[in-house]
Amino acid sequence: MTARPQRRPACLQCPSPAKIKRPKNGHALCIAHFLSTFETEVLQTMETSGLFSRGETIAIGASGGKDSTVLASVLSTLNTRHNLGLNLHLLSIDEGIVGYRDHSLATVQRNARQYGLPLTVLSYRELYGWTMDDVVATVGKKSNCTYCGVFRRQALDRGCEMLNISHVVTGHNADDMAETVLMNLLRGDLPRLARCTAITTRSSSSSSSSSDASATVRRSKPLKYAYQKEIVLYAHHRKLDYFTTECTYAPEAFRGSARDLVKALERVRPTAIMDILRSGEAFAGLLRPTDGNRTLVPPQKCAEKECTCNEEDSLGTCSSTSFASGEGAMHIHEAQLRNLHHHHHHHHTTETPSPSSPSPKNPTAKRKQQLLRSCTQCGYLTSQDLCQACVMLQSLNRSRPAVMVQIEHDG
Amino acid sequence: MTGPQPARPVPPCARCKCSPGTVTGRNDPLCSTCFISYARSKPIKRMDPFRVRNNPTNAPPPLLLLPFSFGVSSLTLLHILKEHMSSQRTRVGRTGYGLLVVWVDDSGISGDGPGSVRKKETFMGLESHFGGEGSGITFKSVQLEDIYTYSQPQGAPTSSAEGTNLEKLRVLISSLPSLSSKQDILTTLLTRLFIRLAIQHSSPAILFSHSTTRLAEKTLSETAKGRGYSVPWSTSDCTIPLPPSQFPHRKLQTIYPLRDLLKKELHTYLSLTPSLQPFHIPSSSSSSATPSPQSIIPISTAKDTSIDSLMHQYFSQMEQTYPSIVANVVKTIGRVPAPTHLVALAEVAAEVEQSVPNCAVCGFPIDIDEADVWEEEDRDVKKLSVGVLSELGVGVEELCGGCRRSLEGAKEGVGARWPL
Repeated sequence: MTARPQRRPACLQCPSPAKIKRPKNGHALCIAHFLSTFETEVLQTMETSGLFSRGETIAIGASGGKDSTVLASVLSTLNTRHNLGLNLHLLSIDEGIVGYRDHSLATVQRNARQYGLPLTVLSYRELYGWTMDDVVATVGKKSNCTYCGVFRRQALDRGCEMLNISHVVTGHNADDMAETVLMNLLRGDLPRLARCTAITTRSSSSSSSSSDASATVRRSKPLKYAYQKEIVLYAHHRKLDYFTTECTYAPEAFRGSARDLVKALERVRPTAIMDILRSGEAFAGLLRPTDGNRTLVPPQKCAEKECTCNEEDSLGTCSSTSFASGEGAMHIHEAQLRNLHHHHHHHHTTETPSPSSPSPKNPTAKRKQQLLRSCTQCGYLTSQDLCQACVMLQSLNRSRPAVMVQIEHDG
Repeated sequence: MTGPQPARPVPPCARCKCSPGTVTGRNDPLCSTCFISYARSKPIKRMDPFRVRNNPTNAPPPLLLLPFSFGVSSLTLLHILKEHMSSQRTRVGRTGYGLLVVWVDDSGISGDGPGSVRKKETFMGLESHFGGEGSGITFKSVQLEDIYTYSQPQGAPTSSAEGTNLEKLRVLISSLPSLSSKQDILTTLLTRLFIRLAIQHSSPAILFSHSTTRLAEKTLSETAKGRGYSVPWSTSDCTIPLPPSQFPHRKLQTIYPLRDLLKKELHTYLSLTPSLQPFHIPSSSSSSATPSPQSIIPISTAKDTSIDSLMHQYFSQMEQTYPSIVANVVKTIGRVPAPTHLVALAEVAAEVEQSVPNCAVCGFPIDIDEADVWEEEDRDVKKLSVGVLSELGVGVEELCGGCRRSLEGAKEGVGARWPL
């Protein structure tokens, strides 16, 4: 939108005056053409990466926020307009955050009616016996994002399994992707750097049927090239009904810093977001094994969209960093790196062995992290005896019975 | 709980345990002697390929090109290497390498005439201090606009109105749309000038004096400029992928001897070496970049900042609080491999006259395996017109994404020409 309306240029695609200057590329468009261009680009992203096949059932991870609302709206519009033959299903996770999730869930329920899509809601409480508010009351605000990320990721998988759906889409946008690329650079996380820009990742599935390859849930990000600003514009001009409040809990420190950096870069050069994505994809290409024999680790699951604090979360095989989030994460990471430096005095990073640099001494070492099995407690795919969620639940539950016992005694 | 703080005793040096640890090494208190030897050991390790024994007795030592800017990094590197060569000479009577110290005067573009005069004088002083007969160190200054002397004769048709090399360079830079683009293209020109000079002087390697902090900065700013594909080449010790059609059988290495030292450690080195201080001329950008204490990211308006200077400010701040995180960024990116199989392919392909394309502007190979979305992006004539490109003498297919971005929005019809 220009400052001088009298000199407003014409829309690139028709003679009407342009109303929108696209943040992504500076193109001037009228509202109708902005909306159709936005939709066409999502369709192109879907088509060029062969995201969906006809007749496929897709779960849309819906939070009621702008990204997932726009995703649901665009997918259902495209599905009808181009007769894509997709069966769309809204899947919402209720983390149990009073004042945030309860309101946004109401939005999702309206969305379901507006688009005529079936909706399933799963709550942390029914899955884990804990709401996020309970978790925060127990662990404080330091590592809540880590818990939430791990729980949500698994909750989405379980939801898909319940509904017998093997493909879930989330509303991650270009800004989120750029942020993750910079975050993984800052955190020195090479394996995640290698996979964080992929449009589709294959998640581990829960349950006993995980030995079946078809049981894995695919996660895709059809909005990966869509700017957050354009998503807001789209939602505004399509008059979509969405919930604007951010999660009340602050993001993890590395992500927070990366987010500030992306915002600052966007101010300096708006195309920077696309450029970071392009670089991120190039890194992924450079880190991809070229000999064709080795395969990458099955891509790790990433948590659902709205609380991006922790998707591609900090829980690597280096679990000592895992509970560090909030303000302290950078300090703790710094301290750990210092320790490494101290003890080894040679090159060291915190990352897990990367696919491109397997340990030359031990050829089996590179395979070690790929040995996935079922969690002994819940059956979710994991590289340890217990999956991350069960480890967390164990530590949470340890605090709970102690309280209960005391109440009994008092009574 | 705490009363007035008693004067804290100086802890002993973590290495020699006998002198007081008055300066901070990466994490520990060190005495100045131990700090200096720590700071020297890092770059000298990187100079391993140029040990005395690798150089045959009867051959003159290879001349390595050392870009010099009067900043703390290049000055420190020059000093450390001079000391290294002296110790080689003391031990075996000769050195494993010689140095060609090159200062590129960019005052024609920066407009800093008085600064240029001061630098010229200082450069002469530096030469008499470090150079001279038997030192193995030679000094050379060139103008940035000299890059136009390497113009390909088969380039765009030369128009008579082009003027001097300096005028050509000024037209080129002023045609660029933003501070980010200008700074990016100037850095590119500088790097390519060093490469040309190294080739011209038969130098086997260029020694860039980037500190850890500077490399972390560069990693993120190249990423933000869409240059991810060439980051392994532009931030790591490697063989530069010269287009084999143009430079057959020529191998040129880049070495970053200071990659394991933080900028603040180089400042400590300088402060402990009084003889060096008269030659230190801080660049205006580094002196103005006092990071704001409130926020790690300065609130600045888009117009007066470039991507490079934004990253510079970000990491200047980061280095103070999180030095190990900064170092880890550099180690991490060092593990992203350059697509060497492509370069090998290019060498073979050169023989059959069909090579993997190098970008006409930055000179690095172009990523040919990119997703379709980028091809679309690169065809957008609204942002970069055919007219601009033909004036520059650069083909549409000859640009990488990062260089394309820096040229987008360039002025047409001003007669800007690409020098190489």
